[in-house]
Amino acid sequence: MALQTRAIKRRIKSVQNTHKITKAMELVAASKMRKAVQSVLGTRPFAQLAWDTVKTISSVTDTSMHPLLRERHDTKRTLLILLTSDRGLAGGFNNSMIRLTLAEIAKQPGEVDIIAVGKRGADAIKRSEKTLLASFSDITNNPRFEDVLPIGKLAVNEFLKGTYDKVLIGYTDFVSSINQKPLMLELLPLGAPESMKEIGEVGKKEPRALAELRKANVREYLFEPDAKTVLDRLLPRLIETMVYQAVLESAASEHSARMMAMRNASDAATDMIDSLTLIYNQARQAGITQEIAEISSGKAALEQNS
Amino acid sequence: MNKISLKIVTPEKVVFEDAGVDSVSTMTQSGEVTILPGHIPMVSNLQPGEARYKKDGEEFLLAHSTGFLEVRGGNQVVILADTAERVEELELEKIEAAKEQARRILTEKRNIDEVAFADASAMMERELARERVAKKKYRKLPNQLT
Repeated sequence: MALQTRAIKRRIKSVQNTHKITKAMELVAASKMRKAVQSVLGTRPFAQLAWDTVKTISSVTDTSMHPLLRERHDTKRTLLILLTSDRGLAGGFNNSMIRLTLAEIAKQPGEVDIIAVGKRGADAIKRSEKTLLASFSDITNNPRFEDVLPIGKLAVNEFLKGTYDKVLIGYTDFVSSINQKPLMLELLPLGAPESMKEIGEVGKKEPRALAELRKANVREYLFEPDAKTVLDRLLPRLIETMVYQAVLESAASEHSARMMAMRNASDAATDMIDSLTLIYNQARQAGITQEIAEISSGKAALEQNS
Repeated sequence: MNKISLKIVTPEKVVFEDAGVDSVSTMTQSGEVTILPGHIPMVSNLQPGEARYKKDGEEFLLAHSTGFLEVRGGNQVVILADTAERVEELELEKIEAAKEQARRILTEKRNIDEVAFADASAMMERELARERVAKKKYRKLPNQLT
């Protein structure tokens, strides 16, 4: 009996330690999440406005005017930017993103190469034996615009060189702290406005500016000094902004997913401690009852003999 | 009378938003432009410099760096800038320090590191624009007192 209670006690202690760790991780993730969510919400208006601008431009001007807008007829090679986290223990965050990515790769005609942001994604891609064009890590924690810049630049350059005919980006959209949605978007070419969805759950509605343009029946846009100069600067800049926004969304999602996972683990640990304590008390009580029974039966035996 | 709805946005935040502005002037690549209500849709590249907007006869100043100016249908003006500050947020000492740093990098890295050199010249331009705006503020203050 004494042996059993000791074993249960040891078990309770180990669960308590785990509980302490998951609780601490939950708090850390929560504070990181607050910061990440703040920066996501701060960037959304900018990304949204920039996106509106390009949509409006590409719907009123000739899309063949700029190589980044032009749609290519057959897609031979696709580049996919995959955003995941560097570390695990974030619930289904990485798994669902990677699953979506692998499904998307299978859907694409022709070859797909990958730029992985975050170690988890890079590892998964290596396992699936796809080509990894580049791998970035250590930027998902508190990302700055300068850190993200090379990713967008690389994608734009490869696209302009003609190595790839399409660039996709897979990231986890931050809907709320308990709901994150893995998404796959077409980043390049920027051409057809109908096929465009936007970064940040702001919806698929037609931008207000475009609706008003339609109403006013404006067919022309004035470019100052000229269309090429403006688009040459605006479009790569937009791509960088969008990649940055996606990285921020992904970071906010990662921290909230981790927070939820850790909260669940802490709750499970508390439940486990409760039920183990119950079993422990039962065992202890049983031990005492048994001891009393032994003593009283011994006493009864002595009385009978005398 | 028509009014312009002006929005100035940077990647960090929405710096300014007002639906009742009378005119907006900014520095673009091809010189200063002033947008009045009823302007046709236009897109232009911004040069680091000052933006001025008029509201009810009063003029307000902002400093901005590179970015884009977009005039949309329906009297909407959107300024997408890398950085933008209102006059009240500018401090001459900080600008002076940043300018000094940019100058140092410019002399050190000339012909050595092209990227750092380009960054520093962009920084220099930005700080010069800020300084211009900030100095205007200090010049203006005594006048207001009298």
